[in-house]
Parts: sequence; structure tokens; C-alpha cells
Amino acid sequence: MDIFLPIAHMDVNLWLILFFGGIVGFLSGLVGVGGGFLITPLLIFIGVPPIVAVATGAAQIAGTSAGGSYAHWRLGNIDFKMGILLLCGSWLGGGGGVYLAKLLQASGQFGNIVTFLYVGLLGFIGSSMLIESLSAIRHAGTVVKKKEGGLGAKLAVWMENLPGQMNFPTSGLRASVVLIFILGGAVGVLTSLMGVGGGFVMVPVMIYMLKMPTKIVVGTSLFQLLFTTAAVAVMQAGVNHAVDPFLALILIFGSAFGTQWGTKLGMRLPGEKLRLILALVVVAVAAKMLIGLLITPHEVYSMTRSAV
Amino acid sequence: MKYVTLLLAFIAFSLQAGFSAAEDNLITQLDSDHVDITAHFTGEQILVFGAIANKGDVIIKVTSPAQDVAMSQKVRNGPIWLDSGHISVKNTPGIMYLLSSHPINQIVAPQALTKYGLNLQSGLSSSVLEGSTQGMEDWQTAFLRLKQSKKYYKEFDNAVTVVGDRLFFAKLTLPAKLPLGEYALDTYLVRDGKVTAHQSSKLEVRQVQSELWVSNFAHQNPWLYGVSFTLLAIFIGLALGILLRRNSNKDG
Repeated sequence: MDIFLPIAHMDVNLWLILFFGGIVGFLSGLVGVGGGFLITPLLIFIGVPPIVAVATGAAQIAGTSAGGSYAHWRLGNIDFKMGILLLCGSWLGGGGGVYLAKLLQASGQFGNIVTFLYVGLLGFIGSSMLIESLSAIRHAGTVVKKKEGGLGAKLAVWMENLPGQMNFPTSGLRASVVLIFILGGAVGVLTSLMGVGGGFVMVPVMIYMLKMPTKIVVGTSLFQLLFTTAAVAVMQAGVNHAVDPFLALILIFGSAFGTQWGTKLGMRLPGEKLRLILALVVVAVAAKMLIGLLITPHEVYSMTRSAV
Repeated sequence: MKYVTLLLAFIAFSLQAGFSAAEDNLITQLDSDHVDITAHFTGEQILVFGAIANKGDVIIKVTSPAQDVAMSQKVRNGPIWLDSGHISVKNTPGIMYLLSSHPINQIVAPQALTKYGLNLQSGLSSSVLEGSTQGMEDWQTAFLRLKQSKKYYKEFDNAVTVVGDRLFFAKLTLPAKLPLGEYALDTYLVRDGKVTAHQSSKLEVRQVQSELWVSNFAHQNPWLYGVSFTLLAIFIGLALGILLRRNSNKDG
């Protein structure tokens, strides 16, 4: 069954879009990433103009993470205090990032920098997570001895001495407000530059730097994504007129079902397996982008319709 | 059935009309002067038909309103491929189709081809290229190649059927991805390599009903649209989440 999209200005197969939504929702419920990195290339692949794909993806993730946040809230998986603090940081960082993006765009290097960020950052985060989660699964049950005086320990001491220490009962930890602000801000800058919700970067930051429990990370990340992507969707509609309502609604329907399954499966899986799944997805995306840089393109020229 | 009736009506009409044999002439008619784009729009076929006064070949040129496109080029730097050139091409038709009763370069002399814009290269005839000072020819070649590979610019040889040297008809197949606006539909009568008659018609491609409303809202009040649609998306996502969770809890 085909349906015509008034903003993207093309027809698409309803079932295919529902299926895309389902995949993204499943991943979102399972590991707490929004799936912008996945839905945007899928939409571009079936011929949706890139700007519409990015903008509509943001609107869809806002809808999906609203449902996902609710599911995790009921399961008690959201650390609201942590989420709101990170959010304040990432909004500030995101605002700065938009100007940085504008500067880079003017210099004509924006596209290349985005690609390098994806490959470098995702490759690094993904492969470190992969190694960590694999070793955690292998050593399950045995207590891993922490190296004394190593870099990690020094970092931990440094973090404990930062001003503004605060208790986070939901996550069961104590951390500095300043540190959370800085981390949120750094993620915000990356979000603006990479055009994704930031779950990708935020989830590893929460797991490894803030040492929050994996399940709380998933819920808190979704809660935060809801606000980040909602803001992006409003701006994309306002500035670029690029949010396609029909496309977004179909994706939301598909992903609502996917999220339920993902969240349920996530409850049954241990934290290190969830981290392994996220690591594999991150590494796969980085590898795909790296291959795109290396192989000789079929056509060196490309053409897109300018924004309407 | 619709086409047959139309053709019969037209045969009767053209026999009565009686063109003067000395002068070349041509009449074109479309079975619809507009295309309505709705939620179920998956492309449309339009019948173009008409009468010619004398024996000859018929060419139909369809062009959509002018639009701007952005182009980029990848260049190899060491082992990696990077985007290193951007230009914008302004004022070119989004879609251009050339339908003819025989391959165009066999029936039209080269000068007439350029004069009347009866080749795909004519898409660039009033274009403006901005952003680069060198390699203009490469960009233009690439533009035409991309337009053709995406089937936005296309020649349909033998797509026009001429019946008994008096009547012609062609089925114009329009894809789902159509730029909006007023399309120009030009019909040319060609004999001995020369264009001997020409007629222009219009075809309006427009959005209707809810599509038009949505598209107008999104373009005229973008911020209001953005805020209200994002809230709607969050509300629907939330409602679905609650609903599905409640159902699955009952099952469990």
C-alpha cells in the first residue's frame, strides 16, 4: 500500500516505513539510543530528501522516546535528577554547537568533519565498549581486580574532588554537578554537529564516566532524548520546513510496537549483554562510514534539491 | 474506454474542422488539464492527443517549473574520498520529458534541435551555476547525467503514435515524485527536419485536500506547525506507549 507524503513530496510503501519504525523502536527500547543514526540513512536510501529525513527523524524520535520514557518510568528506570542536569548542559552545548556548525558550513568543510567525527568517535566508543562488555561477560561471576594507581583510579580521585558533589539516589552514586554539566555540554556540541539525538554518545558517558547502572542509563537517556529531539524537530520545522507529518506518524506507530518488545527484552538481559549489543551497533555504523570513505564512489557527483 | 471515446470524438471534430492543406497546423488536447496529488497519488497517466494538417512527425515536450539544485563532488585525497566541491545550479526544469513519433535526432536537423530546445541539454539553457569558477563543463555534464539516471530528464522515442497522417496520441506517464506547479506542454509538428508548427498547452500539478492544507500550514506558519506537530508526535507516542503497555500487562 503506497501513501503520498506532502512534505517529502514522494510516495512510499506504508508497510516498509512501519517496519523501519519497528526496528528503530526495538533498538531504542533495548539500549536507550534514539536511532537517529539508523533512521536517517534508511530514509535517504529509499529516496527521501536528506533534510526531510533528518528533520522527520527528529520528530519521530521525540514521539518514540515519549512512549519509551513512560515504559521506563513505570519500571523505575529514570534518574530524573541526573537527566535534568545533563539536559541543561546539553542544551547549552547544543546551542553553541549550532554556531560552530554554521562556521564550519561557511568554510565548506562541514560534511567532511561530520564524517570524521562519526568514524573516529563512534569507532573509538564502539570498540572500547565491545572490549569492555566482552571481558565483563567472560569474567561474569568472578570479581575483577581494579588496578591501583592506574589512570582510571586517578580520574576517579580527580572526579571526587570536583566541587558541587551531590547524591543521586536513583543511580546510587555521588557525583559533581560541574562534571555532569561539562559532560552534558560536550554531548550537546556533538549532537549539533552530528545531527543525532546524542543517545549514542550519552549512553557510554553515563555508563563509563558517571558509572551509572546500565538499566537506569537506558531510561534516563530516553527521557533526555525526548527533550533534545523535540527541540530539534521544532527548529527543523521552523527553519527548514522539513518535517513530514505523515512519514513521522507512520514511523511513530511502527516504533511504538518495537519499543515495547525492546524494553521487555532489555529487562531480561544482563547489563553487559545490553552494552555488547550497543557496542556492536556502534561499531557497525562506524565501519559502514569508514568503508564509504575508502571505496571508490560509483558516481563522484551528487545532486540534491535545494530546500523548498 | 475513456480514451476510445475521446479519440472518436476527436476524429469527428478534426474531419469537420478541415485544415487548409497549404498551411501546416496542429491542435493538441489533454484529457485532463490538471493532476491532483492526494494521499493515494502514485503517479498518473495523461492522454495527449491531437490533429495535424499534413503528414509529419510529432514531438511533445513536457517541462516542470524551474527549481534550484545543489551539487557536490567527491575527490580522492590519499586513500580517502572527501566532498570537495559544491555548486548550486539555479533555474533548471525539475522534470523534462521529450516524447516523439521517431527518435528525435533522426527527424530534426541539428540547428532546429538547439533552436527549439528539443534535446535534454536544453534543460541547462537558462541555468545559472553558482559557487565554482572552474570545471563548468564537467558540472554541466554531471548535471545532465544525474538528471537522466534519476529519470527526471528522459527521451521517449516512438512514444507518440501518428494515425493516418492526421491524428496523433501519446500516453504521458507521470511519476509519483512530481514537482508542483504549472507544467509547459509544447507540441511540435516536424517535416523534412524542420519544425513547421508549434502549440503550447499547460498542465497544472497541484496538491488537494489534506495534503494541500498540511503543506500550506508547514510553509506559511512553520514555527506554529513545528511546535504543534512535535507536541502531537509526543502525545501520540506517549498514548501508544501507555496503551500497548496496558494491553501487554493484561496478557501477562
